[in-house]
Amino acid sequence: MNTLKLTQIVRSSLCFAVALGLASCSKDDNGLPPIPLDGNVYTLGLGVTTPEGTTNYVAYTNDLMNANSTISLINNGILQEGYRDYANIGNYFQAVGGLGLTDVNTYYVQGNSFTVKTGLNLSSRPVDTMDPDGKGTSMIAVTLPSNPSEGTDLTFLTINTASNAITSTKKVAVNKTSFPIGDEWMLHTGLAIRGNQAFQTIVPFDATGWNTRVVDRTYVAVYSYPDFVLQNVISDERTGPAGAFGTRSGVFATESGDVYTISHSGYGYNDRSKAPAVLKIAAGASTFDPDYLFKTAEVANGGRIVHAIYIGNNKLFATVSTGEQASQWADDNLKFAIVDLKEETITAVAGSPTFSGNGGRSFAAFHRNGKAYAAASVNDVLNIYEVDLNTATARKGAKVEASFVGGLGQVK
Amino acid sequence: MHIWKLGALVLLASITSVHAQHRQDTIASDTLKRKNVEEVRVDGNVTLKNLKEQAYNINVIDAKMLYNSSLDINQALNRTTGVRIREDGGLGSAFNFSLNGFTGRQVKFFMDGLPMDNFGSSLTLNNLPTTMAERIEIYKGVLPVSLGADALGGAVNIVTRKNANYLDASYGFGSFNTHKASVNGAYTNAANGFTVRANAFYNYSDNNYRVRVRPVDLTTGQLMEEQTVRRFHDSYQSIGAQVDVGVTDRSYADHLLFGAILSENDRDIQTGVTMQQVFGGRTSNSNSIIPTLKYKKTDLFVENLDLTLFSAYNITTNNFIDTTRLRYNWLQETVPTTAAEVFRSQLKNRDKELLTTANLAYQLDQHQSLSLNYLLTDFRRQSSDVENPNDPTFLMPQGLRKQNLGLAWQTTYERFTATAFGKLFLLDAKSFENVSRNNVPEYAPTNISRTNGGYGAAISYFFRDDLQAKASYERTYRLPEAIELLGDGLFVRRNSNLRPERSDNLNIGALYTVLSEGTHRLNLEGNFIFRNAKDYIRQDQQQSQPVDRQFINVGNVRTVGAEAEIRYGWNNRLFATVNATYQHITDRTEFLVSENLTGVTRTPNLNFGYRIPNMPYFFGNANLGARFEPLGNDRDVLNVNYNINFVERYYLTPNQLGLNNTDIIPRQVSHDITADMAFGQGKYVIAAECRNLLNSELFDNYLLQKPGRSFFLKLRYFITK
Repeated sequence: MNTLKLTQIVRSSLCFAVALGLASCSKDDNGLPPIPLDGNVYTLGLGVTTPEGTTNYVAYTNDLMNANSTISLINNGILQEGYRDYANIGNYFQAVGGLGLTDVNTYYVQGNSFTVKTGLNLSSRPVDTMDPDGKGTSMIAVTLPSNPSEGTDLTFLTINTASNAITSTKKVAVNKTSFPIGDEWMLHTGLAIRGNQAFQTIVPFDATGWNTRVVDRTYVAVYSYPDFVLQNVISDERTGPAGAFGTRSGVFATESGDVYTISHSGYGYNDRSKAPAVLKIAAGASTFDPDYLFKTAEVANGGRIVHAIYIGNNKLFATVSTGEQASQWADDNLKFAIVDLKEETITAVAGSPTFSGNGGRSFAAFHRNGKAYAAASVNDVLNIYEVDLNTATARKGAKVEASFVGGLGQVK
Repeated sequence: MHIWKLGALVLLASITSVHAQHRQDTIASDTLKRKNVEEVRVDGNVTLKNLKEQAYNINVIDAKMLYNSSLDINQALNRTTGVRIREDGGLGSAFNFSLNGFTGRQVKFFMDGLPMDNFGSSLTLNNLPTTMAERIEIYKGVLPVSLGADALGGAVNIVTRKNANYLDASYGFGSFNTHKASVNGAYTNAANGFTVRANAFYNYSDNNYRVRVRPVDLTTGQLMEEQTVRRFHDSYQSIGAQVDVGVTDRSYADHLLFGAILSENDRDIQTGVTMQQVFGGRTSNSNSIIPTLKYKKTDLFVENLDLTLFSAYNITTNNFIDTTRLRYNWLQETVPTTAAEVFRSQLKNRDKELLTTANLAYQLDQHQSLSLNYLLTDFRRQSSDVENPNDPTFLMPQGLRKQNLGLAWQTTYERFTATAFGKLFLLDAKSFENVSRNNVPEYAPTNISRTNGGYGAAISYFFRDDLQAKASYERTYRLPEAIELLGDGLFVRRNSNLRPERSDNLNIGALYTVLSEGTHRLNLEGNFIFRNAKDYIRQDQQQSQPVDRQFINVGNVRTVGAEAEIRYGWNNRLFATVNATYQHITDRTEFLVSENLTGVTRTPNLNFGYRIPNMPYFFGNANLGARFEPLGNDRDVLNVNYNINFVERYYLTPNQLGLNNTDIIPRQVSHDITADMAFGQGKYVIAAECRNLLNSELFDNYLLQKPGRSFFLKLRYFITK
């Protein structure tokens, strides 16, 4: 009797073990054909939010604009550790972020492979990344602690994109002697390089309560370049602060050496007292041009220029927000537009959806060959849009199966 | 530093020892008088068997079997079915306890029926030695009303030792300069009922075990080649004592004991959430003072009416310190920083909590009884930070009062038992809200009250003497915390529509005694578990809102699983146990619905239907033991135990997303071996232990590395009468 029972037990245990073993097998080989790398290669920084949290991926594709296709992350995309923001410097696509440490994963195409350079760590997460000269060979990363309890140095790091290595580190102490912050703190909202000077838009900021209390003027910190020695901080009371928390769209330099600051006083501001406007620091000057004032809400197709990239010839590809600013962190009622800073005009993009932005992070957009690309979610469906910059018309492209597009670029 | 603390323990041991050895008229503890529930002291095995045979899905760890080992209670729990404890590192490190996939506040912890969730980090399960416990009960999914709490997924109850007269002292040391000492004792005077019960523990470790890392070059920011380094800022020490003084076995009280729990700890913090983030100066510490009152009376006013009362006032302070203006790497190189390692802080959380649990049990007749349980927890926290004195969240304290009322009816026949119960949860939360009308901050108090009801039932039936089937079900709740309901007045918005987390928990199980007599003994136990949890409370933070966030109900999770354990014994000489847990925990949230100031967004959940990430789903343990009597008597025995712990690999993020994900916690197998020998009629024990015998690479959270092979030697002295 006992022997029989034992045999039964052994048999059923074996079955149980085999069943568990089978159940625990997983399939690693997805069997999908590799994406060819001989044509255009576009890169996407995608975020997926599930009830358990947000994960970030870098994916690439040959075609952003096939309206019948879906860019999916099912068995596709390279997982990034932690929170990520993205840059597209030249033919490199940088995923910057991480868990605890901040690393820079630089993706590019080499031969027939989509490859990555890793290993570079930054001391803290950048508040901005930009190409200082448009050559695609170096990236400036700006770090500024979000609170003086995390540190009081503003750092400008220059990173060689090909070697993914830091070539220069310049530090500037942030204190009320050098910057107009009183007993509060400040935000970095944009950086533009012109010749031997760097222009940084800053916003005085209450880092404890996340309040913007000084909203009646624009501040620009002017530095020598490439040494980033603070020369002075200039201000202008014709409009409010330029840029906003995290958006990196506060200031742009043109080919001719003009520098424009973009004030919207919308997203990120808990108070506002001046109408949105663009100011100019003319080529060769280090002060605001008193004759230039472009009130962006008062022109046709106007509104608040919240997110923007520079597309050449004094123009921005931007998202413009209209209507009441519902709350400090509302980033909505956005439409694609082309802003001519010199002509002081805003051209609405025909076929643009109305959508909500991604708030305090870089504008996930790039432009090549007269076309700009960005993403927008309409009725909870996320698509890529291509905007013809000459005709100002938008075309809906591929559907993206992700919660948000955090970065967009082209590496080949 | 730890020498004087060891000395204090030795002093405590010697005092208790004197009492234990010189007493003349002693009696057994009050537990002898109990009628309805068998008590441990009388016959531990019978009690454990009776507990196991309850209709609940319960694991019972007989702590006596572990007294010779260096295991803390966490490590003991980690060897049972359904439980996974994931630690960040070595002794005293932060840990995550999961029970059938439920974690955090969804699982509650009790000491003798009193909730200990807010007892501070020096009184967590990884500090407490097994020698302080008589047994540890793990209730899965369905809780008896005597453990009154809003536990969504189950609870752990530590039942402390209640022997009348004994002394149990031990000291051990081992790898990584680890020291562990404990003293447990009790003295009871039969003539006047005077009783002293005491236990104390001390833990210390440098935790300077080797890890494989790629240090960061602090000048270039580049990762260096992988190398092996020692952890250098990870020491931990904790010390604690619990003393009860009073009377037992009096006409007016089975026991009436006044006491206190005192404890403190100091922890160096070596890493952040990953091995790459390394610290050399961050520390935390905690101290707790908890006066207690315990009262018990059987036949209160009338026969068969029993009252048990346990009250405590918990005063705990938790401190976190980051004031070192240096950044470290794994090679202990530094570069200066301007404020701190990460965030300059000397955060101090002062918690005060009143806890009372009272249980009234009445035996209606031979087959039926009623039990009424009341629990009150009233929690207040006041925070401050000299480094950030103006933080508005410190200005006004948050508070949470919970009252749980449970009523159970139980019927017992020879082969059949059944329990039906109802529970009522009352919640009163206090916080504050921002009522600023302009740029000048202004805050006002706010509060909210809630009532929820739960219910359940459990039945058990012996088909034969050797085959028992049982089933239990409960609709459980986890009530929101104050911050979840009311926000913090600053960055977390109020959500007065927030519902409690709820779950329908079902267990169906069987216990089968294959061989109960003779040379071979064989027992089997199997359980099927089903959990259908809804309305998980999670923090919702929109992409566009860096600080403005809200707790919302999002997340439905279904668990279907099975647990099995096989226990075998041969001739009281060889013992073997194998258990395994498989739990298929899937995300059943089809859409993520988020409501914020700009409207409602509804996006498909790309993890819908897939396994919940970062949750072990298949794990097990095997234990092989042998018992020898080299000195020819059954007290001076030699025990040798071999234990294997297995966890199947799992992913930290949704596995179906991304190609060739690397965020894998690999399959892990660890081997431990222990040998202990008793001398002097069981009075003296010497035990040697080797953990992680094969020096396997072990990880838990985000690939944080755990200790490699380690050794431990323990000396124990035990007397009882």
